[in-house]
Order: sequence, then structure tokens, then C-alpha cells
Amino acid sequence: MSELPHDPPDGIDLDAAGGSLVLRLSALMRTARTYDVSNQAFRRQLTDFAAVLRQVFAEEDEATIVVVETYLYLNGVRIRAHSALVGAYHALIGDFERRQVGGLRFLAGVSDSEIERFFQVFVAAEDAALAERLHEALAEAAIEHVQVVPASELDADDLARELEEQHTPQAERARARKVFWRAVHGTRKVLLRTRQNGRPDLRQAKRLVQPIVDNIMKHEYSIVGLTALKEHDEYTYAHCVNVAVLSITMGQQLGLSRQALADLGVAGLLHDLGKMSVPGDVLRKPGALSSEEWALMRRHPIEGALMISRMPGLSTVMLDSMRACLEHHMNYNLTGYPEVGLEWGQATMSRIVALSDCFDAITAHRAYHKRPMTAFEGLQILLGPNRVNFDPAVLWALVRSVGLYPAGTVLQTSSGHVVLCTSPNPQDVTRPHCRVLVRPDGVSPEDDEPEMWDPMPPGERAHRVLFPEEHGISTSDLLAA
Amino acid sequence: MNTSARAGGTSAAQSPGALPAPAIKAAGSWVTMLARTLKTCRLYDAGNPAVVRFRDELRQATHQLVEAHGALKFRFTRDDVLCGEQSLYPARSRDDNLAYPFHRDGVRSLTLNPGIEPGEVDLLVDSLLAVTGTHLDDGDLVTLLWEADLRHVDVEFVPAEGDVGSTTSAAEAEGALMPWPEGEDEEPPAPEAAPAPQAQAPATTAPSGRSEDWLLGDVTVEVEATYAELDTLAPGETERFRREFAAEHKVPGVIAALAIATACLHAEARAEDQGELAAFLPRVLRGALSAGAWNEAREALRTLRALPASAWSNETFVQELLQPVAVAQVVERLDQQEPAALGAFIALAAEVGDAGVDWMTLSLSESQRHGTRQVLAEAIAATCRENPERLAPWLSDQRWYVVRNIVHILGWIGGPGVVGLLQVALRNPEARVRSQVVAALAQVDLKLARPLLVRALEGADTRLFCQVLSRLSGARDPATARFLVAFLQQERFAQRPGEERRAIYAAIASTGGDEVVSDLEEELVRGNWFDRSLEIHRHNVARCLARSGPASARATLERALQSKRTPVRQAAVAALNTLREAA
Repeated sequence: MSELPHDPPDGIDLDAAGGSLVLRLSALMRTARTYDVSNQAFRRQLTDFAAVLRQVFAEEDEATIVVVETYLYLNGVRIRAHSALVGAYHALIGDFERRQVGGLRFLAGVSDSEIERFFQVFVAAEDAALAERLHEALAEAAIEHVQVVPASELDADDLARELEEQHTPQAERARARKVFWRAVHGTRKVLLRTRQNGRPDLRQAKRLVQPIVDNIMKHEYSIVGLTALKEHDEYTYAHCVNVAVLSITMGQQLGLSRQALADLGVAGLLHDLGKMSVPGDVLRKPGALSSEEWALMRRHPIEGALMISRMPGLSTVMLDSMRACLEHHMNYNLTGYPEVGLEWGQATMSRIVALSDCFDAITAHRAYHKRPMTAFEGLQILLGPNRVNFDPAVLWALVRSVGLYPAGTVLQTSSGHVVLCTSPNPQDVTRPHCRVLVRPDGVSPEDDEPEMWDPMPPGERAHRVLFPEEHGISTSDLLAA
Repeated sequence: MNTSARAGGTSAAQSPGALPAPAIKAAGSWVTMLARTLKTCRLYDAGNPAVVRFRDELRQATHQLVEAHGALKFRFTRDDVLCGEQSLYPARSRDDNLAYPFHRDGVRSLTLNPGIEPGEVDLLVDSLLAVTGTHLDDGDLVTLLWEADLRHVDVEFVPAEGDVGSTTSAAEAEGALMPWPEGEDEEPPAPEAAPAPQAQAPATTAPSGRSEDWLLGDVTVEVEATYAELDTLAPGETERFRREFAAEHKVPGVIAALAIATACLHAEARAEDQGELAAFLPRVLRGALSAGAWNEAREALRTLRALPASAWSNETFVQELLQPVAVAQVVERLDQQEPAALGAFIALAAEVGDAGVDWMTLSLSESQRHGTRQVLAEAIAATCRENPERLAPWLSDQRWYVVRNIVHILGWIGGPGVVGLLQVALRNPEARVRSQVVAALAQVDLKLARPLLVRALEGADTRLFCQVLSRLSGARDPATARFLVAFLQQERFAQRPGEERRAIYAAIASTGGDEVVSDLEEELVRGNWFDRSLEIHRHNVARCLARSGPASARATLERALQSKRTPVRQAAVAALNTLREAA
């Protein structure tokens, strides 16, 4: 366990350098999968990566990046997964896991050609059989300055196993992060495959949802807190996962069975498939849509249903997903779109998916507003006059799932603390799990030793909801950390 | 079940290499037993005694294994099952590779824990059978094991997301995959505090316009109060929700699928959407057929036909419908259903069109239930009443019982239109078919039927012979009577079975008139003083004369009373007495 945390050396900021390295490494991996090493795109990424390595080598003899639990470390210093980094961060963890490696060690003196050869071998090692022979392959390719750190050396499996068994809030949060980011990256693959094949891969979608259901079934709601993360590159995929997570949680509140929750999760994950057929400039448009654009947007429910109809079979999960796609913009009071006819009512699962989608979408950071709408504001809208659009049971389940002060909400408490809500507390919707940002005396806890309320103490209560921007608080960075 | 991706299960299974030899040996036996059970289950039906016995033995062996040796972890490579690093079941061939389905679907290890229940072993076997059979649905082994929710089995598997970057497409590279809105279009709201809990917060205006594709409304400051209101209603509302959920999920899949497809068609669908649905609906149609949901199948068929030109081909569908496997499936459903449901099937067959007759006929031929056959036959008769020729192809079917069914139906249809068809059927080598033809001819005017009936006598067995003569006896007919009298004159007449002889006498009596009196008189007086063998024949001929009725016959009998031969006189007396009694 030589790579475990130690005091950072003076000079280079390893956390910042680590962030750059993660971004470059992740981009390089992605490019290497698509392009040959001689391709200009790969060469450009390689140059950028080598430049970051050289910065590290200016102060260090090596750049060792390893994964321990759900965190990456560079030369023993934990790299923080701030919001701009979070997608690449977890993608890289996934890359290491699939190759059964604990990390990579780049030694000073490594040449560009050596890095190039290394990535050729490393990318190919995604195949399980090749992964087992990775060390052998590196030796054959005469790669001396890049080493693979075996997972066994880090005892990552033991750590993960311990993580599974621990019932502390920290362990629960770590488990949630792992499940959530796996789902985000998996969703990306599902959507890409859907784009390629014209229909989603239901097997893959089911596999992504199962750990979320297991998590929720254990009443571990930290994963719900992660749905508040909006400002990252993977949000397109995270939105699908968020809807799945929120739907599953609401389904559990409503007493649905484990299997029904899994089906509901799949329906949530796939609900927006139809948007792939809406022109990108319409989806990206920040302003109000013209009538033609709106007509295109209104088609996405039916487009999604048609995409799902291309899947083989007529299984329950397929039909539920098809219906959720078609109906997720319909309303409980028979308004919304597309218009089918008076006889057609929204299905129970669709009601859940629709509300999850609405809640997540209206609080998305790119939702046409300079100031992103907070989750609390989102809740204010949903509980406002327009609540007639939603099934009251489902609306109740949403509040039970996200709490009255959803993750991402910044509160001033009755004792004068300023806290960030990190995840809901299913026992008491008014007392979420929180991270203390400012104590009543005006002092903020150290970043390295955050003060967590798991959950808010019984004596405390929300006094005032604050706009995070006013206080210079980046909720996304804090939630992602 | 504990399922974990790569990180491992939570069981306390022995670490690799630490297993004692007896445990390895027992594990090896168990794996062999599992493989044997799977092979047997694939070969035979669930009720087969070997399957039942092997499953039972596996359940017991699993229980004994974990009770004796504690939790045991089996690892799967591409071609071997390992326990404590010992090879237990190396692949012997492509077909005999127990480890492969586990490894292919990402399962890397399976740990059996003490307390494992028999039902869990069954579910494990069922899951393995499901992923190694020919009919693969949406689930891989990891999913099936997850759904089985095995409490005493830990499963380690590799994550499903795989290579998230390997499928990077040009579209994604351009950032065109479901992008989210970018940029800003609205001034930020006033930088004042957001609405705080309850009364402390001033109401703010919700950001106007749209957020993504959701239309926004006004906010409420009464978040807690609104929630309290919802919470009060929650017990009743959640109960209502669960009821609705259960009711929705009770609906058979095909019904739901059809409803969704119909909704899509009514949901502002374009021509190309209709084309897409035209590709989906045949699946619904097939699903409805295999589920025996005839009304839904009919609806799907109607909808399909109403859609604009698509890849859908009615001819192909009909061919598919008439395949033996498809027919067997349909009949299995029909034989399970109440007669009321058969009406829906008949309506569907009518919707199928002309080929519906063939479909019903095939179903009729395969059905094992009288009630089903009756309804189907009646429906075929009703459908073909105006055009019985439609059934002609079926008269040359190789299966005698199919032809018999058709003849039976032709009999119901009756009339001159079926005569030609029955004539064809009469050539069938199977006596039961010909017998049915004779029965069917009862519904045809005797004048038209007679030639066929007469032909049916050729090579007929006693039963059929008698049946034909019975039919022929329906009305007087000189030609028939003469034909029948010729039987009397045959040398072999006396060798005919008694039933046949009696039938001939009766038929002559029913059909004969003046034209046969002289021939009968010859028969009455035939023989000599010393031949006693004809006495019974003489009596029967006399009775024929008496019953045939014309005055000439009576005169003949009265003349016979004057005969010098006692047997002739006795026969005439008996016949005239019978006549008097009848009068």
C-alpha cells in the first residue's frame, strides 16, 4: 500500500496536477479506443498528456496514479473530484477496474513513443483474457518507464469488501458514488449503442439499475443526494440516471416490489431516448422555442416509444419503458403531450418517471437561467398551483425521497449554522444529512475534515434557505467531493 | 443474493487454496451433479422422472455440501470451474462447458452459503437453463440471478458498463447526443434570499419560460404545509396508487402492447411512425396468438391492415399461421379456453380472410377437445355454406381424420353443392371417411345421392353396406330396386353376412314396386322339392313382396298360396299375415 496518502510535498500542487492528469489520461484513453496511434487526434492528446507529466516530473521522480476505494490519488495525494472533473474521474476508475489494475506508474524519463506503445497495449487489455496477461504484454513491448500497479498491491478488493460491510455514513456515501458513476458511464454506453443500433440494449440497462435498487432497498439514500450534481460534462447521461434513481426511490416509498423497482429504474433510465431524434440545435437552444421547434420537441416521447418498440419481445419491462417514454410529458390531469385522447390515462410508472424527470430537469444547471434553479425552488414549483399535474401519491413520494430540503440546498439553521444538504433523511424529511459550511461563529470547517451532520441534529431546524451564489458556495464541487 | 461487481461478495467463503481435500472433492461432485442436472433438464420435460430425481438429488447435495464444508466459492474462467484453485469441471467440448455461460455473462464467482434452501437451488438451475437454452430473453445470467434474489448465494460479476468509450460515434464526438441547453437567455432573479421555510420566506416568481422541455408554473411558499397536506392523504393515496399499479400489471402483455401501439398511433403520429408501428404490431399479433388473446390479435390485425404500405405481408403471415408448430400452439390455447372465448377465435379467423378457413380446419384437425372441434366445425360450415368448394383441397389431405371432418362439415352444409365433393371423398381408401360420406349424403336429395350411395357399396364392409342400403331405402326407386334385386340373384348372396342380407331385403321392400315383382316371384318359387336351404330366403322374399306394396305383389303372393309346394305356400301365408297385422 505504498501509494496511500502522505503529506503533499512542497512545490507542485499534486491535487491540481492530478486533476489535469486525470482529464488528459481519460481523454487519451478515449481517443486511443477510437483512433490509431498515428492519427492526429491521438497524437494531440498524447502531447497534452506528456506535457502534464513533464510538469509533475519537474518536482517528482514519478507520477503514480492509483485508485483506492472510490478515490484517485497522485503520488499519495488524493485528487478531488470537483464538478468539472467528475466525469473523467469516474471513467478512469472504471478503466482501471475493468483491467483489474490498481493504477499506473509513469517514471521520469518516459518517452512519447513509450507512452504511445503503452496505451496501445493498455487499451487492448480491456478484454478480460488480455487483462490477465497485461504485465507480460508490457514486457514484450519493452515498456520500462510505465508500470502497472496491481490491484492486489493496493488491497483494493479488501477495501471494497470492507466498504460493503461498513454501515457508516462515509461508507454509504462511497458505495453510492461507486454505483452512481458506474450507472452514468453505463448509461452513456447504452445511449451510444442506441444511437448506433436504433434501439436500446435492455440487458445493459437492467444491469445498470440493479445496484441502484439494491442501494435504495437498503435505505441508503446517499445516492439520491448525488442526483443534485448538475454541473459536469456527463450530465446528459446523469440526467437519465437521476431520473432512474429518483423513480426507484419514489417507487420504494410507494411500496413497489424489488422487481417492479428494477423495471421502474429501467423505464426512468430510458425515458428520454426520443431526444436523440430531436435536432441538437433545438435541444441546445437556450431561449423559448419557436412553434416549429416546439413541434419537434413534442415528438420526443413518441420517438422514444418507437425506439423501444424496436427491441425484441414484449416483456413487462419493455412495455413499461415504452409507456414511460410515451407518457412522461403527459399529466395526471390528462393535460400535457402528446395528446392521445380522453380515454388514455397516464400509467402509474409513467407518473413516477414524469415527476422525477420534471424535478431533475427544472433544476438542471443549463436550464436557461443564469442562476440555476435550486432543488428547493424546484420543489416549490412542483408543490405550487401546478401540483394538479401530478398524482398526489407520487408527489408525496417525491418529497419523501428528496426531503423538504433536497440535496444541494443551502440552509441557515435555527442555531445559525450554514449547511449544505447532501442527502435526504428518510426518517424525517425536515432534517436532511448536511455538511456544515459555516459555524455560528463564522468559522468554516477545514475542507480536509468536513463536519457532517448525519443527519441534522434533532434540536436544529431549517430557518432560512439561501442562494448559494450569494455566499460564493459551489454546491456542485462540495457534493462531488 | 449478494451481488457485487468485482469487489466480491460478503460471505466468509474459504480463501483460495485453503480448502481441505474432502471439501474440494465434495465440491467437484456437486459441480458434476449440477452439470448432469442441467443436461438432463435440457433434454427432457420438467415432469420427466429423471429430471425430477436429478433436481431432487441436487437440492439435497447442495444442502449437505454447505452444511458439511461451510460456504464454498466457485470461480469461473472461460473454460473451467474452480474451487480453491482446483479445477473441477474443465470444458470437455464446446457443448460441455459448464463455466462458459457464467463467464460469458460476466459472473466470475458464485458462493454457496449455509442455509441455502431447495427453492434457491431450483432457481439457480432455472436461471442457468434460461441462458443456455435457445430462447434467450432480455436477461443475462447476472440479471436472472439478481431477479431470483437468492439469499444464500453470493455472486461476483464484472460491471456491465464495459468499455464506455469503445462505441464513441461521430455523433457523440460532435456532442450531438441528447445535448442539454447551453448559454443564457434570462436575467438572473433579484439577488435576495430564496423563499425560506414557511412564513419567513417571501414568495419569489418562478423563472419564466421553459426549463428544458417542461413548462413551469408558479411557486408556493407553503412547502411544509403542502407536504403536510399530502402526508395526511398519503395512506389512502398510496393505497389507491398500489391498486392501480397492480391492476395495470395484471393486464396481459399483448393487451398492454396493443394499447400502447394504438395510443402511439393516436399520439400525433406521422406516416413514418406508422411504418415503425407496422413493424412492431406483427410482434404484438404473434404474442396475442401465442397467448390465446384472440380479440387482441384481431385488433392488431385490423390495425396493421389499416396502416399504410409497410413491410407487413398478409401472405407471409398466413403461411406462418398455417405452420404445424403455430397451429399446435393455437390449438393448445383453444383447448384450454371456455367456449365463449372460441367465438373470439372464430371472429379472428374471419378477420384473417379466406385463409381463415384453412386455419380453422387445421385447428379442428389438431384439437383434442370435443367442444372445441364442434364449435370450429360449425364455424367452418357457416363460413363455407355459400361456397363449399372452398373445402375441396382438404379432401385430398393425407390424414383420413381431416378428410372425415371436412365430409362431416359438408354434410352440415348439404344440398346439391356438396355432391361433387362427397363423390371425391368417396374415393378415400379409409372406410371411416366413406362411412362419413354416406352419413353426409343424408343431407342431399336422394335422387342426387343415389349414384354415390350405390358407388359406396363397392368394397364396403358390412357396416357401411348396411348404412348405404339404409340411405337408399329412403324412397321408392325402380332403378335402385332392380339394382338391389340383382344382389339376391348373385350366387354368393347366401354367403353374405346375415346383416347384409337383411339390409338388402329391407331396401328392396322400401324401394321396390311393380318392376321387381316378377324377379321376386322367381326368387319366391326358386329351388326344388328337396332343397331346404332356401326356406329363410323364401320367407324374406315373400315379406319383401308384401311390404313393397303394389297390387301385383299381393297378387303374386296370393298365387303362391295355390302353389303345390308347401314351403312356398307357407312363405306366402306368413307374408300376407304380416301384411294384415300391419293393416
